[in-house]
Amino acid sequence: MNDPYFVSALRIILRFCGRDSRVPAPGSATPAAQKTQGANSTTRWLQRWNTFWFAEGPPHALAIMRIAVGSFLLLIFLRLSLHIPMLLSHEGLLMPLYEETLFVLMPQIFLTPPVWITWMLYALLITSLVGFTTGVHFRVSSFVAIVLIAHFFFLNLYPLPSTGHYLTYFFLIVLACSGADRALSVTSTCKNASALEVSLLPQRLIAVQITALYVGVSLQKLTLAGWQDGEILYYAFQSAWGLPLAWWIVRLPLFMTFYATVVFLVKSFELMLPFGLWMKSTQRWFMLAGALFHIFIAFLFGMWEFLVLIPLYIAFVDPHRVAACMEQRVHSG
Amino acid sequence: MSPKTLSLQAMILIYCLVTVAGLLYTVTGYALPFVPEPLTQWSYFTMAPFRGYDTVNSDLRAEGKHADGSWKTINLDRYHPLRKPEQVKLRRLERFLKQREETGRIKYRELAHKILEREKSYESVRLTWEVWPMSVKGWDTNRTPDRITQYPLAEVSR
Repeated sequence: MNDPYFVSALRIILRFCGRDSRVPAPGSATPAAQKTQGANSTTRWLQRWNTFWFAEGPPHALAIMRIAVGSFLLLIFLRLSLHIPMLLSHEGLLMPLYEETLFVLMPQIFLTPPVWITWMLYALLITSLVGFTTGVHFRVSSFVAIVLIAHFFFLNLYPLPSTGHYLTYFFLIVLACSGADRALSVTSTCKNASALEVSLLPQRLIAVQITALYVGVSLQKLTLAGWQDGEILYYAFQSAWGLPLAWWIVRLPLFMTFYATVVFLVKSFELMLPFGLWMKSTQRWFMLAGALFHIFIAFLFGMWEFLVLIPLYIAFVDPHRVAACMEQRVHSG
Repeated sequence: MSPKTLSLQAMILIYCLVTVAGLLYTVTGYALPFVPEPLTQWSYFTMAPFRGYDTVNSDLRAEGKHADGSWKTINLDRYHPLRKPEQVKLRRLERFLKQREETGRIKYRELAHKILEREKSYESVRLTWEVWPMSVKGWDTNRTPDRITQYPLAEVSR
């Protein structure tokens, strides 16, 4: 414990964590003083934990996320509107997942629903998503949307969702439990509730979840055999996922080195992205780069679902700054 | 500490634990034994990348048998009116195949029966999984009889 290198390293780490040099080198204080300092350190740590998760602030950032998630879900389900009978009623080839779950006792009319039942539930879902997006009967709308999306998932849509869809559903649940309807909503306009402060816990959860996404994806790509050269990209472009832009690129006379370089850049970028989003000094640039990254994915592979992350980067921004910015715009406008 | 704060603290701790479990499972494939599997899987689904790649394309072929004994390909696109990769995902029945091969067979028979119910002009329906090499010229350029590998899945009759 008296090893000078160890003590120096510990001091650097503690200084990095914001505890500065007030923490003495181990062994330099009496046991009683050490105990008090240890308790103080724990208290400080708990304070930081509580400040991070339980802070309160203006609801504007949450409201923007609510509008983004709601609009995105509306787009997903409106896109299916022309095919509802084939995808979600007994007219199509339903292969429900219900019998594999606890919902095996679901009434038969919902397992192989007639077209009119499906249309009724679909209309209810769209109405609830409009309610969620605009903040009308927010809690009820959110609850109905959460239940009906789960129902359609178990009924037939379960093979379709990707990581982006799972994330969006998680964000829907988190926002449903938030004060996201306190600003930029029909109710907030009526009651002028935007001046209220709300819990920022939902915003923190969304930011942590986006961080976990990028950390998980990038770490796994570092170890997965398929991601160690450019072939994954070359073959992905020729798969069923490839859109015209991907097909155009793959037909160009490019060497495999090109694909390997792109894969290396993607892995490096995804590894840096979560850190860049949290750091105020680099936030703006990483948001821009993240947006471009997801737009490229959308145009190459048609994975539009990740575009929802772009407006949700606002979860990394100080909500007071978001509110001030919006107030300023309202006044200047 | 109020009961509300206490329950929120517990919820956050559980969330952090599940997220760490998901990260660990994503990176190493190791599932923490004390975290329920559905929660680990859920967390994994929210951070799993496109894991690998194929050098082949594949799709389901459904064929119907006429009274004269001839087989004709049934267009499944009208039952799955989505993009090509989504159609393939719906037809792969991966959730069931992951459980057991036998479950997959049963499910493909069920699917074949459903197609037969809707395609009244056929006496039998058979399902085959087709795999063919990729080509830079197009998704189904190499979907030709000499390049396709076929895996029979199910055949049902009235």
